[in-house]
Amino acid sequence: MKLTQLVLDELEREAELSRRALEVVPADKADWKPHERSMIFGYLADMVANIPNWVAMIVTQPELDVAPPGGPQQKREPMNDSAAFVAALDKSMSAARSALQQTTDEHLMTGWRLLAGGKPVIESSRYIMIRDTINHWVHHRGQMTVYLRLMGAKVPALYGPSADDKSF
Amino acid sequence: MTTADALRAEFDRETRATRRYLERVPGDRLGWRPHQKSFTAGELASHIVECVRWTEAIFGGDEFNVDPATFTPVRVASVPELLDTFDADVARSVRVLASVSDEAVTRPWRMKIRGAVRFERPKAMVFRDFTLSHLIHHRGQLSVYLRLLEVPVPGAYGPTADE
Repeated sequence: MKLTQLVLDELEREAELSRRALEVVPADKADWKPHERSMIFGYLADMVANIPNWVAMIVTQPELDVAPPGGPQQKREPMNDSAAFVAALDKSMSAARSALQQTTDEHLMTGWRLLAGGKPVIESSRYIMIRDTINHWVHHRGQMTVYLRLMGAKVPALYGPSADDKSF
Repeated sequence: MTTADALRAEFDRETRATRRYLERVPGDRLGWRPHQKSFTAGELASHIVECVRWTEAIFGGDEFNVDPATFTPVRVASVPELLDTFDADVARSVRVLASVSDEAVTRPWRMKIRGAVRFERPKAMVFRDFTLSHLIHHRGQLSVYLRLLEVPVPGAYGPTADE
């Protein structure tokens, strides 16, 4: 089975679930968090919308520094409503899709590095890095569904029915 | 590396990480829930075991028929029972996965509800969806539960406020 196709099919499926979760994001709640040690909702939803960009970077760039010496190159505007998050997801998925459609299984088996402050943190094949990225995406979206529940939003059915959506 | 090898490696990695979460579920808070519409901590942890259990259904046959009316969810009464059930299911799944060939993962698998075909997809896709992603999704939820229960949260893909 072709790895590129497997990854692409899975990304499309997960993007659909992420879209359902981002569509019910309540407006102006970016700073909300369930516990003082938790991450804020806006940061979590931003990751759910933008993680497919990481897949594109893993395919097209040799490495990524998550804390580049000299500070981040660009700062994104914070997003505050579901329309903005869904638009960001569409954009990041389009980047991931186009990167995967133009690559090969052989390229996915080549090495890739994640750095922090110029120092390598993880070194693995692009395929393993993409797999971890998708899992990371699912992890944070799972957390986000609990936030949504606690914020009083309607929780969509993802892998099975939710208390609000039994149509599964 | 074949697709089957990649799936085996990932199953090992994710179930090892998951056990660290399950070990930390407080035994006296299994009935706790963060919201009246949420699973209790015990129901959520039991459901994570169910995600692992799909492995056998996916690779042990070419279809699975479910009747929601008679389906009985896994429910554990204590943390030792949770860990024993999880370990037994992981061990069974590892045995099933060990004999899965690269050809077998591409074979179609049918999900049926009361005998009617709901979908048909390659086994590798169903395993990623029903077992791995499903498990990671609920483990992500459990990480928020642990935080709210004042339990240190283990890292899964990066550092947490505790580790």
